[in-house]
Amino acid sequence: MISKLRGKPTILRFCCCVTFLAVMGVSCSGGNIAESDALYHLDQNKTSIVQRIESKDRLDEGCKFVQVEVVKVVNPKRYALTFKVRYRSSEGNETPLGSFSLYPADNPGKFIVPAQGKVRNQGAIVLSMVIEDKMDPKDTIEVAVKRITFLKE
Amino acid sequence: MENLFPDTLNRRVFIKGLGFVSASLLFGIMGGCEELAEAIKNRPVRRRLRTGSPEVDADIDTYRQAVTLMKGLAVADQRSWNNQAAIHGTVAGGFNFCQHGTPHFFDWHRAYLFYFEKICQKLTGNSKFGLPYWNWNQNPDIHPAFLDQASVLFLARTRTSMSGNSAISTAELDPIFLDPNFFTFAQQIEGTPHNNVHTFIGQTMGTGGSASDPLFWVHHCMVDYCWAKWNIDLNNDNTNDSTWIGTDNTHFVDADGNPASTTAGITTLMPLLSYQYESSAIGSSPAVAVLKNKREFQKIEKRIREGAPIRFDIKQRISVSEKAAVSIARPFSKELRLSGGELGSIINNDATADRVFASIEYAELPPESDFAVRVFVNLPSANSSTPTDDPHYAGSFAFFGTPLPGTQSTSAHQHQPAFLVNITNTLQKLRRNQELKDATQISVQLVPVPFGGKFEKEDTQLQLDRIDLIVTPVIVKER
Repeated sequence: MISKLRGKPTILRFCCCVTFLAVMGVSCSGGNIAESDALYHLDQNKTSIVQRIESKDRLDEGCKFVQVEVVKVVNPKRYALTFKVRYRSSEGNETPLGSFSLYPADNPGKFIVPAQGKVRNQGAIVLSMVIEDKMDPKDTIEVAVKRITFLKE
Repeated sequence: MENLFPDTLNRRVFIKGLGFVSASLLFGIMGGCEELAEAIKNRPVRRRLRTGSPEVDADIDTYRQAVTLMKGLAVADQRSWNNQAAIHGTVAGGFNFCQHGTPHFFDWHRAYLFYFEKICQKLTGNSKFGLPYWNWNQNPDIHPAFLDQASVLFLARTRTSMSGNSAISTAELDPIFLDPNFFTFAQQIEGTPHNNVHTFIGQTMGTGGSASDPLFWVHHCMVDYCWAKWNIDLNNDNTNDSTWIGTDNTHFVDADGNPASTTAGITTLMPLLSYQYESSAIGSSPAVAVLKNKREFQKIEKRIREGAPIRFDIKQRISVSEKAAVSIARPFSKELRLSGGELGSIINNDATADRVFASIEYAELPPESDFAVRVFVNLPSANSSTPTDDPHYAGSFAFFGTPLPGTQSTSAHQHQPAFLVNITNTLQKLRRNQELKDATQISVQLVPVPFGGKFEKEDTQLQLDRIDLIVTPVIVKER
């Protein structure tokens, strides 16, 4: 989002974003988001990733939201994309947490889904990309996602 | 404890806002107190789109007529269909003035719909017209009126139903509606049902120019109803953060084609004073009865006017700097009489509820706003080339509201630019890296960075009023 700052209206959006993030207690990266920051890459052939919950996630007391930051999207035909977020327990049982979309379908952003008290200190988060439209086989979709984070407030 | 956002300020802003709503939108039209009360009581009803209802059929007829009339207006008329849509954005150019991914997603679109509805009322001569809303949770199919290819309400779309898309399902919406926090509730409504409907329906609806599809307005009316239901029916509070309340949403057009603007705070009162929703269920939240009496109405109005008792209570305030004129061409650095050890309980404990913010207040808006200000901690050498992945980087802010050259601000009030940047994570990071020891003095740097790589006017001065470090629990909600 921030990397697309051009002109007044986006300045306005930028300003509001920063104020919001400050109020919410989250620091905001003010510069371009380098692609190298992304840990996961999804495309039409690899549509899901699994991130194990680690001790550094500090989820002893659970969390309120699971946050997914989409930092880069290559989707020139703007195929509709839905991202589904699920919690996978250590036993392998999966619980849907929520979903989100990009709007427009090539617009990166930061999204949250409610953890619903189901995300614990063990297990994993599964992020799946669903391509809602029928794709032309010649087209490609590439999405870069940062390491999934957990919000406690 | 000191309150960072004094109630008096919030009340003042709100009273000003309420006055504006009354005077400009209702009072001015009706001309007297009794008429005003009557106008509020009889404010337009926004009904749920469905088949088999004569009232809804009549609303669709009026909407169809309004779209036809708007499409027939002169190109220069700012109320014309294309000009109205272009406020939001265009198919080719993307977003224009709309707010997405910011805390003003709800209020900007509420104001957009409000003025659009006023234009529809004026052009059709039907002052009782209320935009219908598409409750995709209860009725996933697009209403047939929008599918008739001979109608002005038609536009090519990839899909004609949201059926099968989980984002509008009760299973996904219920947990979102349980969230009492205004900001995270808004963020989820935007990312989940709002974005999904846009892109799933597709074609024009999936682009920045989506407002040129008549379906856009009934979709966003539903998004607005989600906010109203969460706030009014489900008894959740909006923020009363003075910066949020005072933010001006501009670039709208009133019923006569004149420029119009409104603050975020004013929009919170619109569903009570300017229009009302015919209640319907969203997920497991059922439709609710219409407010029965004046007392009930006044109780809700009072709660909404006061906003959410969500605020920051300051535990500790450490002055960094008092008034100073600072050139944007040079980074500003100041060392505090505060060492790492004095914040040990916070920076050694990742799980603490306390946060440390740099609070930066300016006396006035700068004459230019083509730059952001980056905030660093303990990096006196920081400059505009210092990358934002530097561990000393904490966050940034930018100025909003600087009038364009040669114009005068039409804002109803001039607020003092004030920013909060959370430096907790940065302090913790420096601690972990052994760069912030108990005896290390803490310093703060402000580095202006031009958006376009070069300042428009390098001699621009920023009138700094004060900088403080404040220690506060994140959000304290009181009743």
